[in-house]
Amino acid sequence: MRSSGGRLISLLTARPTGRVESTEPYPGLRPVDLDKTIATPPPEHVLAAADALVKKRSRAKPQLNKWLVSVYRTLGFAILTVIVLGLVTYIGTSIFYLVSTSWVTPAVISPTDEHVLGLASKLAEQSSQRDKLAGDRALLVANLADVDRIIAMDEKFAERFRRAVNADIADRRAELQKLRSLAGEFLGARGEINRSNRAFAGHSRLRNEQLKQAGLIDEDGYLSGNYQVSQMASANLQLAERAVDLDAKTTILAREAEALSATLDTGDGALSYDALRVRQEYERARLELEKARDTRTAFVESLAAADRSIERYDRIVKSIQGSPLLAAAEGKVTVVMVPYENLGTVKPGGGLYACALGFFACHRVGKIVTVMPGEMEVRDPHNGKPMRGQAVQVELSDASAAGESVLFARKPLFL
Amino acid sequence: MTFPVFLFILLIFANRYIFGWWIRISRGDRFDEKKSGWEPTVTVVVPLFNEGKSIFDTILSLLALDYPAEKLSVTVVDDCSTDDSYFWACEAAALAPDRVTVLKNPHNMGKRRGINHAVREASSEIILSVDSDTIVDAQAIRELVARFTAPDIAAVGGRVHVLNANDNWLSKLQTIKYFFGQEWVKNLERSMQSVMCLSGCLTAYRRSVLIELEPILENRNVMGVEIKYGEDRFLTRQIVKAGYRTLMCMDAFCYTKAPTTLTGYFNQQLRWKRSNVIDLICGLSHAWRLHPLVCLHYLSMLLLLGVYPFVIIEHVARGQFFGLVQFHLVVLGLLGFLYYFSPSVRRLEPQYRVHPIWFLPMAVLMPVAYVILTPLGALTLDSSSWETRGHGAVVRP
Repeated sequence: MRSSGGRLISLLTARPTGRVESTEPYPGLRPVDLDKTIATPPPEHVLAAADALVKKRSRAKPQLNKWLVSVYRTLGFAILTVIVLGLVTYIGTSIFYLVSTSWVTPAVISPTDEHVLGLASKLAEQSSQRDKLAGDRALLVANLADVDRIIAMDEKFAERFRRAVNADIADRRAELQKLRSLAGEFLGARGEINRSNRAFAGHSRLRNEQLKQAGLIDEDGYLSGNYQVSQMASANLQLAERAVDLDAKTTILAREAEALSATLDTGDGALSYDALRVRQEYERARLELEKARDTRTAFVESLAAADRSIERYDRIVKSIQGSPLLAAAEGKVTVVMVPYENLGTVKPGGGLYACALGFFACHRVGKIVTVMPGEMEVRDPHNGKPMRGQAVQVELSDASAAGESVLFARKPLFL
Repeated sequence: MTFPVFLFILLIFANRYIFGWWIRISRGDRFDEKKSGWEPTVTVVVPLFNEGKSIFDTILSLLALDYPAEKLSVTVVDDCSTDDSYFWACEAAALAPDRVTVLKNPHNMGKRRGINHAVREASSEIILSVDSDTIVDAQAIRELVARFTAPDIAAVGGRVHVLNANDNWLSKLQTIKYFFGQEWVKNLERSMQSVMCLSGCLTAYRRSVLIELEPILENRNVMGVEIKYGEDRFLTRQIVKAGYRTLMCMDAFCYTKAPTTLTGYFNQQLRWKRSNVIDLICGLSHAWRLHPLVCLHYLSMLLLLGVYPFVIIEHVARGQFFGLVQFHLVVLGLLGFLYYFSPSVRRLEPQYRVHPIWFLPMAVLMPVAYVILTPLGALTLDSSSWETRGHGAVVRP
């Protein structure tokens, strides 16, 4: 520092280089003595200590330090350049993908692709569920048929039962009618016979007495005459017994007919034990029929539900089977994923382009074939965000383009 | 973000806003001890570079500080300004020739050597370093010297307020940033009396210590490359390294202008980033001697410089930048409330207070500054630029 004395003096005495309007902004103050402002160099001991420090450090690794600093500067420049380029590229790409509606992402679908396997697995699962439902439905149908048979049998039994009981009632009532008619006739005849017998017995007993007293008849004849009279009394008694029998029979028949009628009624009637047993059988059969009918209703509803479920499963299975991913995997076609925003740009027959430098240096690599049905998830090639879109079948003239991360449905920036 | 990164960020927050605060509360009066009645001689050193006429006002304001005139002198060191700063400094010196000395470096040497130059020339016990664009509160010197309660206390820094707090959104944002930078972020270091960076805007040093460290300060270089920026941080670190204590006094304050343009703000941040990177790395050789909590804080700050940009880049790459901004907004909103209800802010005059909502733009500015400036600063450490603020005159409030 001391060796460059001349330069130092000129530096220290130099006037300010800025534009100064007035050198005396505060009138009355004495002018500045610039000589007082000359810098004082550090004292000898400080300079010596600093020199020693420098020498100590520089002695250690002068060349290495120089080399390290050069490397740092070069690396620093290189890294900063990379950072600036990266930033510019990132911002440029962000803007491009913000406004671009032509990008698509290729996807060569292999049968062993994770998504395909997932779909296949889902298809198998849904088909299995559908088949299980179909099996359940078949079982339901069989059960329904069984119930129908039971219902038919029970209904037939009920009908036959009614007919049999009605026939029985009719028979009994006819028999009752006949019996009552017979009883009426019997009662008339019995009165007539009784009256005749009483008249004959009285006359006969009187005649016998007269004859005996007249001695016209002996003892044997007298006894024989009395015996005939007793025979007549016995006949009368027998007639009374028959009348009682007829009455009992009529009563029984009437009761049986009434009891049988009551078995067909829903209300409580005067039932005989036998009729009650019959009625119990009938009621049991009726309950069985009701149960069978309810079961049938449940089966019919279950069957309808099963039909609806099967229909849903059919739709799901059909949808999965129609998935472009599976179609692509089975048919070995190349597809590209297109977000909905870009679908307007993708026209069947249109060109497909690959670019060597992001979205520069583009060339045609194939054409668009058809937009496949079904929604697919598309990843934004710039920020990886998932988007909704569709698969599009393409034909690649350059197979290597399938390996690109992004293709374009038209030349980006017309380059 | 992975779990360790979350843990790390939690650690930094705990260091800044919980541990330091807790220690400060638990120490009570012992946290900020004062010695009244001591009036050492003080030389205010003002490094000067292209400040124009504002240096004239600065010198006059320094002469008007509440301190015995016979014990207070001002030394201005011009580092070869290319405008008329030197002239205006001389004009101010002419008003009080016995108390003001204007020195001029033989060539542009940097701020640190300028201060050394002035220290050599001075003979007072205390050297008060003041930036040329700073307005110092009248009581600042008394408050600062009162903190030199022990011989091993070598430096006491003051608090910096933003002078142009309400100029625009950027100055408002920085007003709150300054508040946290001084009142919260340094709590832990203040508690252990090992503040690792005392602002060049307003710091008092024992001259004897500066003389002792002069060879190191004169020879500041990394692998033979001279480093001119971040002299305040470097000097403070060297003082701590030499075994002295460094304090911060929140009752001594000054006002400085904050950049009002993004260019100015990014220039300032770049300068600070460079200073942070070089000093945090160089300090690794002796950081282990610090109090374990301060050492942990020190290391975490270094790690933060490296990790935070990657966290941002990762979020940008994943398209989650706005999620990160939302997270920042929540944190900044909470900090805004803390600022708004802080007693020290309530005591400020209205023109130095801002609404906490102005802290929210930091949610974007901070990630951008970290991502761009950290690598830029780390890869241009050999820059020899002063990168001074270069703004116009300052009017005393």
